[in-house]
Amino acid sequence: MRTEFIRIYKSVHTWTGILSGLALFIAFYAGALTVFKEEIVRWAAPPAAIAATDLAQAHELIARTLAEHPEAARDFKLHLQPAEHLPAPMSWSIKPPDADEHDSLAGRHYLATLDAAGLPAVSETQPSQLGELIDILHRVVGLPFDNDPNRWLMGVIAVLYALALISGVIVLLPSLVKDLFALRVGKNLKRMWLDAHNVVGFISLPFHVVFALTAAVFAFHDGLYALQDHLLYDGRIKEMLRPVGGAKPQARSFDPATMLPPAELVARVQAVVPDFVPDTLQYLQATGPRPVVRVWGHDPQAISPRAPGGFAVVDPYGGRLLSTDYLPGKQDAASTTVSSFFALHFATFGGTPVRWMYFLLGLAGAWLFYSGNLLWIESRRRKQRAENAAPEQRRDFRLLGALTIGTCLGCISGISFAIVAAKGLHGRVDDLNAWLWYVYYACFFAAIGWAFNRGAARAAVDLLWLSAGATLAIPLSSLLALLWPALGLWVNLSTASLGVDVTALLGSLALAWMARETARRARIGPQDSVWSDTQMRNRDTVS
Amino acid sequence: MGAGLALLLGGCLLIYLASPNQRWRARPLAGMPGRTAGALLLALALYQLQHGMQGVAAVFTWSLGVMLALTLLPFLSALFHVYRGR
Repeated sequence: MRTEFIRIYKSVHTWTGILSGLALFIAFYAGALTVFKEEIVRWAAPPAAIAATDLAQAHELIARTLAEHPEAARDFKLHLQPAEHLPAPMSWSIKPPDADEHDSLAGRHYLATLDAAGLPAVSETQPSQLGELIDILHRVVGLPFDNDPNRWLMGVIAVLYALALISGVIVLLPSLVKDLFALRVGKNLKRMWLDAHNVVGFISLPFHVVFALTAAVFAFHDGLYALQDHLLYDGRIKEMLRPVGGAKPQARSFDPATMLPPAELVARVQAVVPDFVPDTLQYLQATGPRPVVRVWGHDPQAISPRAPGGFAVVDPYGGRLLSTDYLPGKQDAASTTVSSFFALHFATFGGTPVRWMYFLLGLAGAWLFYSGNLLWIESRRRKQRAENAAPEQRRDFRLLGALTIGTCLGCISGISFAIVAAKGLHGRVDDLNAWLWYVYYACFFAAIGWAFNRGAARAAVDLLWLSAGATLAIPLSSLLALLWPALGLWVNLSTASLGVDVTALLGSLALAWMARETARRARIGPQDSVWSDTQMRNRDTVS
Repeated sequence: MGAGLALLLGGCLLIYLASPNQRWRARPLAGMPGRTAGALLLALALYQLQHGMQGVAAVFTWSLGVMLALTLLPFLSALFHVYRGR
C-alpha cells in the first residue's frame, strides 16, 4: 500500500481518536460496570422495610391489590426471585404522559405485598438511581440526561469511533503479521504504548466493531423507526412490532381474581423451554380487553433479545402461549439475527462467565482510548538532546495530558464515590438520587480542575490514589457496617452484593499499583516527558 | 461451558507461545506445530461449547473468549518479564 495512503489514514485515525477518545473512555468504563448494574444496585439497596410475600400467595396478592388499585392493572410486575433491591413481590409505576419512554424511573413507583392479616400493603417508593446513573453515563458519554440530543451526540461519537477503527486497521496492515502479539517494554516508550494500543485494538477489533455499530444504531434508532414508519409502514410500525401474538381484543373486561396462578403461567413457559429461568412476570392490561403477561427471564445457553432478558407472551386467563418471538432459543432465524445485535451489546448470553468477559474487555476498551491520547502526546513531545536541559513541552500537549488524566480518573473516582454515596447518604439527605449526580459531577470536575492546576504528571499520581481510595471505600463501607452498626450503614450478604465488594477491592489494589508505578515514572522516567515531575525528582535528589 | 473455556485458553496459549513475539519463554514454540495444535484446541473448544448451547451463543462465547485471552496474554507475559528483570 502506498505510503501516502497510510499517512492519510493515520491522520484520520489520530483525529477521530482524539475527538472521541475521552467520551469513549467514559462510555466503556461505565459500560463495563453496567454489565453488573443489578449487582451494584443490590449492593446499595437498604434493608427491606417490607416483608416479602411467599409466591404461593402471589395470586391472592394480585387480585386484592388490583381490587384496591385498579390503576395498576395497566402494567405491573411480579418479581419471582427475591433480591435486595426488590423489597416487595409486586410493583408498578404511574408515568406522566409526557415522560421519556427511555426513562424507566420517571413518575411515581409503588410496591405491594400482603400484611400479616393477608391484606394488601401498598407503599410508594423511590427506586435508587445508582444503576441508571452508571448506565446513563455509559449511554450518553458522561452527560447527565438520556435525551435525544445527547443520544445523537453519542451517535456521532460512535461514527467517529467506527472511522477510527477502520483507519487504525488500515494503518496497521503493513506490519500486522510481523508485529502480532508484540509488546516491547523498554526505553522506547512510544514503541511500548503503540504496541500495547495495537494489541488491545487489533485483537479485540470484532468486539469494538460490534459496539461502534450497535451504539450508532441505538443512538439514532428512534429516528430510524420514525423514518421506516413513515416510508414503509404507513404509520403502523408499533402495531406491527407489538409482541403480542394471536390474542384478539375481547369486547369485555376481565376479573383478575380469575387469572391463572403465576406458578401455572411459569410452568406453561418452562414446558416449552426447560432451561429458561423466569424472573419477572409483567402483566399488561390485566383487566382490559387484551390482557397479556410477559414471562421475562434468561436462558444462559441461548441469546436473549433484550437487556433484561427475553420473554414469552401468555394469556393470563386461559394460559395459552401467545408468542415466543422474544423467547431465548425459540426465535426464528430472522428474529435471532436481529436479537444477536442486542445480545452482543448487552451480554445477554452465556451467563456469568460471559458477563465477566464483557467486563474485562470493556475495561480494556476504556484503556485503549486512554492509551490513544498518551500515544499522541508521546509521539509529538520534544526530545531532550544529550546534556541539555529538558525542553519545555508544547502547551497543547500539556493541556491534553491534563484533560486526559482529569477526565478518565475523574470518571473512575466519581462513579466509585457515587456508589459509596448511595449507601452513605441514604436517610441523610432528602433527594438521594439527585445527590448521587452531585457527588459524581463534583468529583469529575474537581478532578479535571486538579489535573489542569497540578499538571498531568503530578495529578496522575494524586488522582490515581484518589480513585484507589474511592474504590476501596466500597468494600470498606461494608466492613464498617459489620464492625460498627451504630454508623447506620448496612451490608448485604448475597453473593451478588459481596461480589461487588470483592471486585471493588481488587480494582482499588490495581489502581494503587498504577499510582505507585506512575509516581515511579514521574521520578525516574525520561525528563523530556509530560509525565515527568521535576519537583518529585528534585525532592528525591535532596533526600 | 467450563471444559470449552479451558480448551479455548489452552488453544490461545499455544498460539501465543508459537508467536516469535511471545515473551513468556526464552524461545517460542516451533511455529507450525504450535499454531496447528492451538487451532485444533480452539476447534475442540467451539465443538464443546456448542454442546448444550444455542449455536450462535456458542460462537459468540468462543469469539469473546479468544479475544480476551489473546489480549491478556501479551500483557501478562510483559508484566512477568518486567518484574523478573527488576
